[in-house]
Amino acid sequence: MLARLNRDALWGLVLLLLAAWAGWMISNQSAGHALRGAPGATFFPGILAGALAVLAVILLIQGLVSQQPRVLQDVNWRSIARVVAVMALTIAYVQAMDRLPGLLRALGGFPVRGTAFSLTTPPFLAGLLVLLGERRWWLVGLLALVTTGALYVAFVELLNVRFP
Amino acid sequence: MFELVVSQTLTPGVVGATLAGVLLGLAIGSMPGLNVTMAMALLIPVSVGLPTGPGVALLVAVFVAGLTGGAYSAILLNIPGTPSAAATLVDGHPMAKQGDGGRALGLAVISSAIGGLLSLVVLILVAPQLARVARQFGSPELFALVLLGVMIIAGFGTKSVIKGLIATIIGLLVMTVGLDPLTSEPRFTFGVVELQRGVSLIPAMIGLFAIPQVLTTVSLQIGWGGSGIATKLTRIFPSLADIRHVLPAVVRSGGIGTALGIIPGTNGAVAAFMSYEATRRLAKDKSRFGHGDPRGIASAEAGNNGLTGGAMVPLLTLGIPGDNITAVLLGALLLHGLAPGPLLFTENPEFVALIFGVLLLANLLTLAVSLVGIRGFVQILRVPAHVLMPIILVLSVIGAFAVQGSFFDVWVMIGFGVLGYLLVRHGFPVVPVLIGIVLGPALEGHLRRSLVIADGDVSVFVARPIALTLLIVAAAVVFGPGLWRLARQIFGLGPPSSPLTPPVSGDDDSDSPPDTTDPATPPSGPSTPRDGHLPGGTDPEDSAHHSEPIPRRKDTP
Repeated sequence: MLARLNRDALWGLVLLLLAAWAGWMISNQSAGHALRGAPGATFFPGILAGALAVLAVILLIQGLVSQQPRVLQDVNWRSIARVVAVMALTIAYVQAMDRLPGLLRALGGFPVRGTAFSLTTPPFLAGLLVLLGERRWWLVGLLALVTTGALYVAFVELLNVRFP
Repeated sequence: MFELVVSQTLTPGVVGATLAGVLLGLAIGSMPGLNVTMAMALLIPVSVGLPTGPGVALLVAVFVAGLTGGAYSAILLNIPGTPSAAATLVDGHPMAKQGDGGRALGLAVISSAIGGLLSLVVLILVAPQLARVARQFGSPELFALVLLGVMIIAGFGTKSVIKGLIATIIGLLVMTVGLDPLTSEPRFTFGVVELQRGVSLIPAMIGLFAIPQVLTTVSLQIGWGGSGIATKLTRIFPSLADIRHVLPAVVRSGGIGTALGIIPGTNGAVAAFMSYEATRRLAKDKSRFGHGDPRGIASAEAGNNGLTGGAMVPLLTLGIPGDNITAVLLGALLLHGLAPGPLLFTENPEFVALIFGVLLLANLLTLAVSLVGIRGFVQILRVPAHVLMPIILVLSVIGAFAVQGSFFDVWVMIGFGVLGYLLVRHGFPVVPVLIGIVLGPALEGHLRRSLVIADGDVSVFVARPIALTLLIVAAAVVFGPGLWRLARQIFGLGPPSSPLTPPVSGDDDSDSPPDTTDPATPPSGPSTPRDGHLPGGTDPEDSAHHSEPIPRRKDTP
């Protein structure tokens, strides 16, 4: 059913659901104690949810009457696969950097500042470079290590950021 | 004022940060696939980590130099490094192909500097007067003014006003997350403690501008495999005769760019194309335009750099960003504890002086660094995008983390990145999302304050002439183009004829290089390859059907 819609119609539908959900959230929320004549906490979000609903309906109608291709028509799956792979790798990188200090501590180690960044960034960079088509292994290794080192110096040493 | 400008600007920190910003701006601006907005979003964590003077100087210098850097690839590769440089390639690349690339670059750099400096003069003269007028405004007028700014960004430069408005409302809804500033009631926090402070601006900006850029570049394989450079650079300094020849066009174009910059919603590409077109129309001999006329390069570059000072006028005096780059700059200024607006000139004249000084210094340094190091900078054009994108992703992650040392901010950045990519991919502009987040608190605050003053009576907005006028203009901005189209259809009027029509570029200046393959561009000019498409209002889906890597360079005869 949804695959029969075109992009604008699908966006209209999704945004209408979002507006309905926001409206439901607002209706279940306290407006707080405002001054006399002053609108409460739900006043502005309520206006926004209403406006979003109206615009979503217009977009939905525009989509239904337009001649745009359907959502799954002419999709470049290879391009989508590249994007999904890059995002999956990025999420894995963030997860690894977040959890590594705890894991090292659980194994009896005492990770110092920047350990997780230093251990996870080179493999992430190398993986992305390979994924994006770089086949010169010496360049992959060099770029991964030099970039990690440069970012460490710039953020930790110069800007005093506390890396994980 | 002069002493204040000197004392605020000529400090080691500010000069060093300006120089660093100029180097980064030239490098980033020259690389197709990277843009100034994204660079500024990525540099905000660095800027916030610095004292206010150097932190702001870094970003302003990237803004100024980035627009100049866009000319390098436009002239040498026939690909505009930034959308603002799209008009530059019309005459720049033919000159490069004729073996005159060095002279073309020299003219571009000098014209950019003159355009930028002219706009600075206008900024210094106009901004204080405008701020004086705006200081008379009360809450109803300020609400109407902020609403006008939001509507301009939502309505102008996008293919669909509806999509622009939807993007704005998404940004405004995001802004309402957290504790209500008046009643401290939690809104859309879902019991998550981190959300009580609201959504952090830096992760949102990085996510909205860097991630969609990376994903679109990866998706379309823009700039893959690096490129050769069209010509060897010989003479870089143009002769005095050259400069005399182009000077009238440069001065006129600097004025056009500045005037357009003052109007919120316009961008560098529009300024460059309009300046180019004015020069072409006024020229006695039009035969060389499109085939390597130095006046074409000079007017395009002076026009787009004239925008820098012009765009600062609404930003500094009214707190309304003129385009996407100044929208990011506004976010950065707020993070530095500065509140651009009518009171800035009286409450913080030191900061105003700093901006004036940094704009002057950045223009002069951009000129000097470009002329001396142009041969080095063009080597950057050889760096392939598939090498840069992983580095930008790591910078995005650690930039978001660095703000508060929190992985929650990294997930926020990724969330906004995915949202931004989906929006861009389906023709929604992303700048209105940012504008909604940045201007949302002021919009809601002035609205609620106005209603408190008026005891809940909404007629306060129509009873005050200035507020009413601003609201009418805001409505005209949103509904005007649609009504105009309807009127043309009803009365059977044809489309306006212009040999050079600036492209509608969704979000703007740096997000979406305009498609000069559009038939509206001059038939004699070279065309931009498909890989000129980057995120923005232009629809990358159109280009996404290429299953094979797209060649970066297209040598047009």
